[in-house]
Amino acid sequence: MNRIISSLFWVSLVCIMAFITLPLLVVMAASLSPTAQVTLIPGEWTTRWYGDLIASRWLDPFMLSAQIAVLVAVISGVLGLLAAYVVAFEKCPGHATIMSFLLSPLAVPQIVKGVAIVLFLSSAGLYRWVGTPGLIAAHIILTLPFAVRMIATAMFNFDKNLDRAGQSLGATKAQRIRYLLLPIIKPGVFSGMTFAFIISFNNIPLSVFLVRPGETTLPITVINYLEYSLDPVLAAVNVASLLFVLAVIFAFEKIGGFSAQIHGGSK
Amino acid sequence: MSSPDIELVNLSKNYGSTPIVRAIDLTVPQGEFVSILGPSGCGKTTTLNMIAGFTIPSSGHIKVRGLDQTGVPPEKRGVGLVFQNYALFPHMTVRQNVGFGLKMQGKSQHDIDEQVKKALHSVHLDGFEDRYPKELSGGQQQRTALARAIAPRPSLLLLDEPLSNLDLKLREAMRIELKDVQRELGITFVYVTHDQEEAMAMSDRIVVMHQGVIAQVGTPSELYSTPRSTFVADFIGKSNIFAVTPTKVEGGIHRVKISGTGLELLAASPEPDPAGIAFCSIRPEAARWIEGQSPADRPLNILPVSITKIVNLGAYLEVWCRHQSDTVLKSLISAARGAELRPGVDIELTIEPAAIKLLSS
Amino acid sequence: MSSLAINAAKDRPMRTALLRKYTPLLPPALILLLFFAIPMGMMVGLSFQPKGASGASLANYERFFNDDFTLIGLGRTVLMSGLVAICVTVMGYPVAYFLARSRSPWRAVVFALAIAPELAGVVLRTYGWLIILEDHGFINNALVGLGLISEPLPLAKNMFGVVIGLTHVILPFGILSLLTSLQGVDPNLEKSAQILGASRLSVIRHILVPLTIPGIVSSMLLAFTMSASAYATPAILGGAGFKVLATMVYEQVLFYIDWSFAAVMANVLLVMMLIVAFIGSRLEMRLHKKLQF
Repeated sequence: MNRIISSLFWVSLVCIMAFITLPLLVVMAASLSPTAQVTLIPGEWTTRWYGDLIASRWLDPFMLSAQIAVLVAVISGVLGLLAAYVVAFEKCPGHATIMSFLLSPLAVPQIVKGVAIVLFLSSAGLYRWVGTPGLIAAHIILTLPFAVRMIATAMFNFDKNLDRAGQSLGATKAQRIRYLLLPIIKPGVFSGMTFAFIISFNNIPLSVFLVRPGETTLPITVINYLEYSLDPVLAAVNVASLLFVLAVIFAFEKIGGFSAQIHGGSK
Repeated sequence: MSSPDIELVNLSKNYGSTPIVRAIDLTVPQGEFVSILGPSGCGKTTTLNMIAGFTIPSSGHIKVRGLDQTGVPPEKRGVGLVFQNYALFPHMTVRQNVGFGLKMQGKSQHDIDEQVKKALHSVHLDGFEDRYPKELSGGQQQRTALARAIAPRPSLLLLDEPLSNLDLKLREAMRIELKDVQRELGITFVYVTHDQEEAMAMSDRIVVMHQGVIAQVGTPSELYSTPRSTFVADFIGKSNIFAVTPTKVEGGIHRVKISGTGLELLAASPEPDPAGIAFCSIRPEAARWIEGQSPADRPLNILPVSITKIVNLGAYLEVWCRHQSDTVLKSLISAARGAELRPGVDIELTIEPAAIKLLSS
Repeated sequence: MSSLAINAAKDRPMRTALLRKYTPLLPPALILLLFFAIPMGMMVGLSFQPKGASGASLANYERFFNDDFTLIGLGRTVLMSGLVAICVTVMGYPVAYFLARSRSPWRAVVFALAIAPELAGVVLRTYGWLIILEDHGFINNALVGLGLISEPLPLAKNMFGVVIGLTHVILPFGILSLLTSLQGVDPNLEKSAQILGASRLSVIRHILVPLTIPGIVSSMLLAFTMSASAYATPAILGGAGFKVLATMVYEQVLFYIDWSFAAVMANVLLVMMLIVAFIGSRLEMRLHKKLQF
């Protein structure tokens, strides 16, 4: 009986892993298939769809998504740092309540946030904000709670004794922030920024209301196309997108050094 | 006479309505190695934090080298601190850690490098400059923390139970090293610990704290041979402590009766007021085993006892003895001499009157 | 000067010093106020103002709860989310258990595979499922080609396809949630049960599941709320006729331009989330007390 349960476990584990990887493999194969019929035979594969990616109909939305994502990541990182400093490092009175307010957007579905922002912009007469500025603002609202939470965690884990040691060695508050706090929480800040980047770059539900012809993000461009065809070029766009995100994560990690937190958390 | 380096004047600290430190006064002369010793909760760490400036006193003040430290933040006090968990900066090398205080002082890179090298040399860590804290063993981290604290040349060093995370052999070795460093540099060390052996081994003077007040201050031998309260008698070394009622005084010798028994002892300690005597304390090594002495030179305070338990301490045996009055006395007998002793055996103990300390609390 | 005045004078610089400590909070708070708090407030207000009418009324809400169309959409949303919650938790549990207990080098691979799809974005994964499930996609082509069926099975553009797609998208979060819970269970508990003679099934039933109920509950709640607010997957894998709250909101804003009705739907969705979250935290609290640790 134990053996049946055991083998059931391993079999289901393998099946679930297959379930997870299947769509990814299929899309990769689709991106290399010459026609809309996906083929798994390497001999029939072609890379011509990747060549099509340089067309402006893909490049423009890609540039927009990438630029917005970078901006959002940096802004969320900075704002998150400011907020986390007050709440997690100084622990000013009422910090628990302030923290819940900062995290409250997490409880609201993206669709709802999107409708609310679009409503606000048009009734405030800021209709021209729909498009890039609106997207940036909305994405910041979306990613800021995550950034705050991740950076606050890093600050909570900052050993108070290190700050005291710095004091006993004559460092002023500004010096302690510069030489001790910031370097030590750097991995947390960078993982927060990376998270913000990924969320912003891939975002759909929030962004659907804030795009404009000519100012559309990459994911939304793709689903607009999906409505009327299963063109292999879409697969290539998706795969290229994924590779880009991986490259960005890699770059952020090189600067921020948060890989320890990914590898099972041992440090 | 060296000038006082630290003066605690009527120093108190309360958290809410709970008093942690109660109006203590202390003077520490320059260059002394003084330990603040006591069980957890006695207020020793709070006192240290007040000297360092991390905790603000509720009343009273602290003077360092004659200057009142009220309102002075920790970074301006020029006091070094070695933490229990070392608090080494994990993102800096040993060199950067040790040089941090000098960097904050604005010293030139050349001066910093020189001082760092000297500091590492005093703690025997030459060659470790480029290692990171996580690459060091416990003892090495400890010494790095020490080097970092002394590199900026403070005139006062505070140490908060720095050896408690090390294992026994390492701890004993580090005690000697710490003492050597202190002597070499001539700095005043204030050392907080709950380990009385450690305090006894290293200190010029010991301040024993209990429930927020100073129980007694003295050199290690003073505290050991003349404890002034049962707390100190019990905390430092081991003691047999009994509640007693005094019965008679003749010519400097007090006759006291152990409460609840009929056992009477003669004690010769110079206690001023017979009415204030409530306890006596006898060190186990003072309860000596006499093997068959001739009646002519029988010493005073002879107790015939029966052995109930023997605890082997290596070089010595702690022998638990019961007197017919039901009083249990612990005696320390050398293992060689007591090799044949077993529980159930009857022996005779004697205690010299001068070794019986009379205490009022 | 009286001592009271002296103390007050001491307090004033202290109070401004304390207030100054909050200044870094201003930029983030301002952004949240401007683009979150105020818009949300406006949206709630707008839902009470039906299109074309003036003054506050519940007309929109009446319309919402009386219209078959919207009610079916609401029901479909709840059903879909419930199914996804169950699938995510059931599938996530073995993976989370493996990640929590295993020390093999495969652990890192499984971990990466479990989390990485999140990086690919919803579109890539949904697109992949579309290719696999659609009428001339992988599965149907294989089945028809093998002669097992003559007509393609409707695997996409319906509830089945959407549940599969959403499960795939939300699975990483379920796994992480369960993983945290499983890591909190001392492995020695399982070992002591085994030494005492418990079979694997008993260990699961009497030790693992009871001790991880908080994790199971939070995983289901997380999956439910993420599903209910999902837009892209139901839109792509559900097809034109598959309406859930999120897609209906989209329609109202961009096609019907009935913003107050859209606001109503958004509010209903929001309230549903809050109710679920509330029930969830109450449940968790009661479970914690019952399990007493």
